[in-house]
Amino acid sequence: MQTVNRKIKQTAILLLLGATLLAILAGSSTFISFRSNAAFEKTIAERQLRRTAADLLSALQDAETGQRGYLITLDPAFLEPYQGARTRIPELRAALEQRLVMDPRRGEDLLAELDALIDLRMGLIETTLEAAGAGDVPTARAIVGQGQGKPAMDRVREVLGEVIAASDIRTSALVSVQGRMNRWLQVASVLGGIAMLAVVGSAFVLLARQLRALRAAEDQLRRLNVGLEGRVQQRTEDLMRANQEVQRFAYIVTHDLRAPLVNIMGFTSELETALKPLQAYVLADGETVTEDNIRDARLAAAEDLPEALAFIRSSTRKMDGLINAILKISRDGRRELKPERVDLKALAEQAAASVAHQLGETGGEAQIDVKVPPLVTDRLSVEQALGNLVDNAVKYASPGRPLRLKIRAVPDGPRMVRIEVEDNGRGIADTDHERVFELFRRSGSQDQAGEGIGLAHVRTVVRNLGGEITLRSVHGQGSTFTLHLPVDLRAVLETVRT
Amino acid sequence: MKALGKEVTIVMVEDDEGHARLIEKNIRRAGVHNEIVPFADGTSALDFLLGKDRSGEASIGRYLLILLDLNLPDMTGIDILEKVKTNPHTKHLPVVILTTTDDEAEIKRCYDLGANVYITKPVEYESFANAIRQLGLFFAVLQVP
Repeated sequence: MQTVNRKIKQTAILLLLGATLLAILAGSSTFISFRSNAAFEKTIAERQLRRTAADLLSALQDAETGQRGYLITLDPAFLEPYQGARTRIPELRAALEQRLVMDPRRGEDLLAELDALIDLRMGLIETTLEAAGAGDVPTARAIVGQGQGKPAMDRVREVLGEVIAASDIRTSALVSVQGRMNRWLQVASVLGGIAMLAVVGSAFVLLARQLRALRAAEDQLRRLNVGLEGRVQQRTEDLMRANQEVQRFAYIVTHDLRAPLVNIMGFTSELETALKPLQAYVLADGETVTEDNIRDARLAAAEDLPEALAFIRSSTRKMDGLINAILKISRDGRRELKPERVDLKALAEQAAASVAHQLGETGGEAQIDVKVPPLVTDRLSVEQALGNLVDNAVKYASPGRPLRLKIRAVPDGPRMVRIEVEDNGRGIADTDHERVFELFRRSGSQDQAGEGIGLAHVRTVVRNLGGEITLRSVHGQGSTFTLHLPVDLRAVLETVRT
Repeated sequence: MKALGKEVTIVMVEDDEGHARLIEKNIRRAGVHNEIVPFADGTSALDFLLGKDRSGEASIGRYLLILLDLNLPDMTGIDILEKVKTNPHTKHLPVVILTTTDDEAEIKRCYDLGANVYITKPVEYESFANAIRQLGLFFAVLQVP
């Protein structure tokens, strides 16, 4: 989850960077296009300036052409170009003044000189035409012959040529600026395209990652949910099993306690019954005592009373024993477990050594085969469980054959071990495989002393360690008790606490 | 108590010596004087009833009435009841369950398996003695085959 978050953050930063770059590029593109536009507009203005200058020159030449034609032919048709030029010249001059703002070098001076030259030239033309109009053609031709018009006209051509040349230089500069701007614009577009791709790409990646993260989270949630349901199920089953056990335990305890109680009540009544003939004899106080009275009293004193007392005493003792056994089981359930390193091999050897004497007497033998590393568990609990199982193996050995006792320990998955205690004793009938683990219940012929507590105790102890005890047995051939124990008791205690 | 003119033997399977003695005393007080053969555990009782080989042939020709406790040390009385009632040679023998167990399911189970009478041992001795006396009356009318 951490790495996914970091990746999303990285992609988001990338996205932000791309967006910023794109904004900068868009800004500069706009700036470049404004600049380019301005240059274009200036170019157009330069073109207009150039054309106006050329038009002015051409208008002056038109006026000159009209003058010459008229002076030669005196045909008024030649006056037409002159008249047209005369009206166009002031317009063009005004337009030139307006457009000359483009030329930073020349302004007022140039215009003043140009005005003077135009006035001079036009004045000369007018004078000659007027003279010719009045019929005085020789005077007009003489004025022309003075040659004042030509230098003025040459100067006008020069001045306007300069204006055009300067405009041309500026135009070419503007064109190159525009070209540069166009290249910049191209670069900006390409960069913009790349940035756009980067932004869209990282946005896509971001979206994909978020979707993936979302899906992963969803999967995890589902898995957790399933795991939780499984755990709840497991806990419920454990609880139900524990509850059934408590009920079974309560049932056994109450009924087993009731049995001696029936005796105590019964023999107390028998005591009362036996007391009557005794009282009839002892408290006769002068009344005649019959032979029957004497016989009944003697019987009561000799048999009924001692018998009743003996049963009452034994029943009381039995009840006491039962209560003590219940207390013992209850104490085992409450004892604080101390997880520590326990070497099963040493423990098994110790258990076998404790019965070595009995084994030796009957020619039996014990084999120990421990194939697991030391456990972390409660030493006393495992010691008691193993000791009980080994004692049982010796106690219920088959009378006909020497006991072969085997203690094995093998791993059972990564978290459990199996400790098997196998014997070739008298075995346990199928119907009693569950019953032998119940309190006060014993199996097979009752030829050995015992109260039916051992295996119930072992089961309590093993379950306290988070384990279980199971039994495989064939009646008459032998039994194998298997302790399933967790490798590490601390982990078990941890889950119980949480 | 006779069957076909023969004395009926009462087989009492009861692990508690005190209970056995009380039952015997009360049976005698009820006027039943048949022979009582006591067994303190299931294994020896089955040895007697069905024989060591559990074939049941041991009981051919016997006239028995079985008094059975359910809480035995080595097996449950239900195991014995089941074995007796499924064996062709012993299934006709009347079985009286006499026990401290008063679990409804257990009682029904016993009747289903073929128990003839089910009596709960009351802690109150008056009732206990009374129950046994009624058992005596039951014996008197019982037609043991």
